[in-house]
Amino acid sequence: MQLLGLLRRELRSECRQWVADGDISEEQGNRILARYGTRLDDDADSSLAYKVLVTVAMLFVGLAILLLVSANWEEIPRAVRMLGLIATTITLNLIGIRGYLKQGEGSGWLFLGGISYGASIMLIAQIYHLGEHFPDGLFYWALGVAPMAWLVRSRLLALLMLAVAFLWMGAQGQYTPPWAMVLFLGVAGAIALRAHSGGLLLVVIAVLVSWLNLLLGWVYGDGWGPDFEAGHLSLNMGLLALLYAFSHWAAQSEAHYLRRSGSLVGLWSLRGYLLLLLMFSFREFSEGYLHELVGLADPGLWAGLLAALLASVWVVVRRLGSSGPRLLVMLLPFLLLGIHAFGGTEMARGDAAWLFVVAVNLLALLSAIVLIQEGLKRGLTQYFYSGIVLILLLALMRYLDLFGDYLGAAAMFLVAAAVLYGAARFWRRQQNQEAAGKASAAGEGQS
Amino acid sequence: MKRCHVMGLMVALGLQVVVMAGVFLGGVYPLWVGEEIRLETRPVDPRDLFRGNYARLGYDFSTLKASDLRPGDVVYLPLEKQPNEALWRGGEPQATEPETGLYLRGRVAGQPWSAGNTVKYGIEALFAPKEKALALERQLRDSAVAVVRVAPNGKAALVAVEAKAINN
Repeated sequence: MQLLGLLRRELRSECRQWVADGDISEEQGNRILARYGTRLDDDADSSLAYKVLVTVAMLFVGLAILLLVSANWEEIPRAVRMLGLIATTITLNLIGIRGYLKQGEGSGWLFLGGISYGASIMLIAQIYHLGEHFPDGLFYWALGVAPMAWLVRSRLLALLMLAVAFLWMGAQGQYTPPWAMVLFLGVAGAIALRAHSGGLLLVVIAVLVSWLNLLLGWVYGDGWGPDFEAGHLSLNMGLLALLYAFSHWAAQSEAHYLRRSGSLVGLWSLRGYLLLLLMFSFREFSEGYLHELVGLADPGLWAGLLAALLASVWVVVRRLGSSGPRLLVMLLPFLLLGIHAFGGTEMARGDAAWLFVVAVNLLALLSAIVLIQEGLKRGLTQYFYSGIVLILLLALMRYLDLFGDYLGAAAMFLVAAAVLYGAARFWRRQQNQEAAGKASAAGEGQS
Repeated sequence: MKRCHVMGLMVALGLQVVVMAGVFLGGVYPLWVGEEIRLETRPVDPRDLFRGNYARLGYDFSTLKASDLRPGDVVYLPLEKQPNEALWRGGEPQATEPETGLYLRGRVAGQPWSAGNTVKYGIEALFAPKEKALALERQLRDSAVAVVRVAPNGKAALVAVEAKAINN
């Protein structure tokens, strides 16, 4: 994956320095930078600071509007308050539309208009005491911003819409399944693709994962409300595999923004995988998970299995990622079926659960070794240090929680040391063979 | 193409205006056509993230006990008043719309882990400036009366909360 593409600004700055020092020509510099979707004369740096500061300033103005509304100016007549804010909303939107049509800009004004529109809804609800529970207001807010965001392809408006829709999902999701999220996710996803925004795509994916978890909660709640069960972990295992497949597919894309979002999703799915491994490496956590599973009828299994199967087919057909992680993704559907068939049974309630914990700890160790090797082989610092941190965390946690008491923990540390030593020897032998191969190839070339 | 785009943007802005008008009409409709009634209530003061401080109003009929109604279901609460009483009282909640009499239309919004479901009728919050909301909570802790307007379709709007003690 092209992790370096996430550091485009630093790369551009370095490249300019190389050109200035005469180490490379301008053409070479541009050719290098073109691999990461930028160029030497890209002035995004200077305009970025301006854009970020102005955006934050506008956000603060929007928050000020909301707080002014919240202050409840009861002494001002209702009609004056309401018409004043509605007129402000229309004016801000008209200024934004004019700017967009004339110069292709104006999303800042439209963003402010979007907040003013939401504040107007909240003001009306405040004036007429429209109930304590008012997720409908958030829904109407997101709904009203959606067409504007779509028409001007504004990332800023899409983020505002998604943030409000996310709040609505949290508020409404306690009472009914928030099906309408599919609309907001669809609009934001389409804007991300049309505006070539890797950042927005990442936010859409994060909200999508939260939404799927909430929907599964409603399946568990049997229509009475969202219920969060052990099966959610199975769903998230499947989703992680799917995100892994997506990140490697996106990393091969021609489009720079897809490559960048692929790198970001890859990094976050790796972090999610490591977090799950660390959680499952605790005996109490794993036992609790296995005890709560309800066998093969668990909705979490079928949701996770669907995602895992899609991921398996994707990585096999497109040959995505390196062999170790690919094998793990391919095996995940079987692992999930096995875990759920085993979970909830008398066997899982007994001491047999420790076998699962040992397997997870060994998997964590192997994952750390693969990460370190991949990090060194492909020059990916993030992978290398993730592997090192994983090994050290694993050692610290096992030393503290004394899994299997003193003797059991000591045996586990010895097994871990043997595995690490074996991996190091294997790595060294492979390096020596590669060096010997290169030397013989160079010798043949000279003769 | 550009004209089409301008039309689209104007329609998008128009949608925002229509939504704002809809929220306004939804709020003001019971005040225009509704019958005024008085209900006993108990206020407390929290803060809404977007609408500021308010006094939360609890009613005896806000909790459904041992009900098979699910969150999101619509509930109708017939309202009753004896000729010699000043306050209206909630009757037995039902899933079907009453054919006669005054009633409140609410929605089940409960937590399955609690003893019973909560029903929201849209009259549970009185928004006021912070000091006023806190003062209302102190003054009306023991005895308060919510003045409510109820439209023929059961939609209700809160008009005011009074401290007046009413002896039935």
